[in-house]
Amino acid sequence: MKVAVPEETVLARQREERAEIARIVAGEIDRFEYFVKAYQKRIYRLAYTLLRDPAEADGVTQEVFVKAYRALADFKAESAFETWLTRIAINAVRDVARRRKPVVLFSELHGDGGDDAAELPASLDPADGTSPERDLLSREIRRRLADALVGLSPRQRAVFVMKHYEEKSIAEICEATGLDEGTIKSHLFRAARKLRERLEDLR
Amino acid sequence: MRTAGERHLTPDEIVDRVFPGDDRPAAIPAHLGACAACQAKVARLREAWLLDRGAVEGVVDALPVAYWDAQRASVLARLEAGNEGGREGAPAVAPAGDVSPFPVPDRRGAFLRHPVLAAGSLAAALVLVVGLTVSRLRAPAPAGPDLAARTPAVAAPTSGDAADDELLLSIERTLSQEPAYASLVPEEAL
Repeated sequence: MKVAVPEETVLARQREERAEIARIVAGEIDRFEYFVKAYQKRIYRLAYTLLRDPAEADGVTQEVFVKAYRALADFKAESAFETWLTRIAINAVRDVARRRKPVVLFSELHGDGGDDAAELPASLDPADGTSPERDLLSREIRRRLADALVGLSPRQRAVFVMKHYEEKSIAEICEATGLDEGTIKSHLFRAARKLRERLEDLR
Repeated sequence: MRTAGERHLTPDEIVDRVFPGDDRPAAIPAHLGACAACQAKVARLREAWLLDRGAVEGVVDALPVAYWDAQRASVLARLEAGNEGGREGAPAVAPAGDVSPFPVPDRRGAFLRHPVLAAGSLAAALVLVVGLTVSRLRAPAPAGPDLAARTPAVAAPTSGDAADDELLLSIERTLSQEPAYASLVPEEAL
């Protein structure tokens, strides 16, 4: 669940980040570690959620920071650094996704579901109280969900993941993607319909 | 006749309950409050989504601190390498070797990124092929004696070989003279 951060904290962080950026642009390259450390996990998680491939997610994460560093002098601080970084990440993921053809479905990557439990953290494994049938069905729906995500267009996937996995607001997604509200909602609607198509034959 | 409140939720409505296309939560259909079957369908989809989201979180959280350290070091090494050989005064980046647990060498677009190099390589390859073809066509055919000289000659029989042949012939002769062993002599020797 997303925790609301007080506005003062956000503003203080933005001030700190602007000061760091000034030092880096002035030539203190090492200071860039501050940003990598602060955001690498978030960027990796976004890339992994979108690509479902650890190697590609790692490559994208590194590329994002390299690109961000290269363009740092152009960063106008009109948006939050994280938003700017997210936009770079989405573009990088889109490039990877475009190169990646044909689409390999998540379920195919992970076989017939035999090793499914290994991916789940222990705390998320269904509790003993649930029935095996329900557990199986949940796993099947989850697999279809992941497949459906991979099957979406890169833009639809990015919007859907930001909304429902990263819990970003429509306004935040608009800022990160540069798309207007109507387009975002349209992408969300189409993504949900594709999802429904994938899940239709399930009870 | 069924009213809207009595009918079951459509698949689209179930998906929309879990994945609303807006920031504001959609109004809960009256039917959902009373229908256990529809509630179960919504719950299953929500559970599956949370499982998937949790699985992603789990994968990321399971990565050790060393992984993040290595990734960070790799990024900074690339930045350093870029600045050493790059432009002055502005952040510049050049490709460098990764120190990553998941190195992803990506050379798929190399030709597209360096069209001049690609065109140069192609031209050089064409010149080489044409040059070799022309030189082969112009060169005279190898003369007979030369070819014979290069062909390894069959080794001449040595004195040891001749002695062996003589021994074998004498054995055959002896065998053919003895009636008891005549059947052992090969037909062509007789």
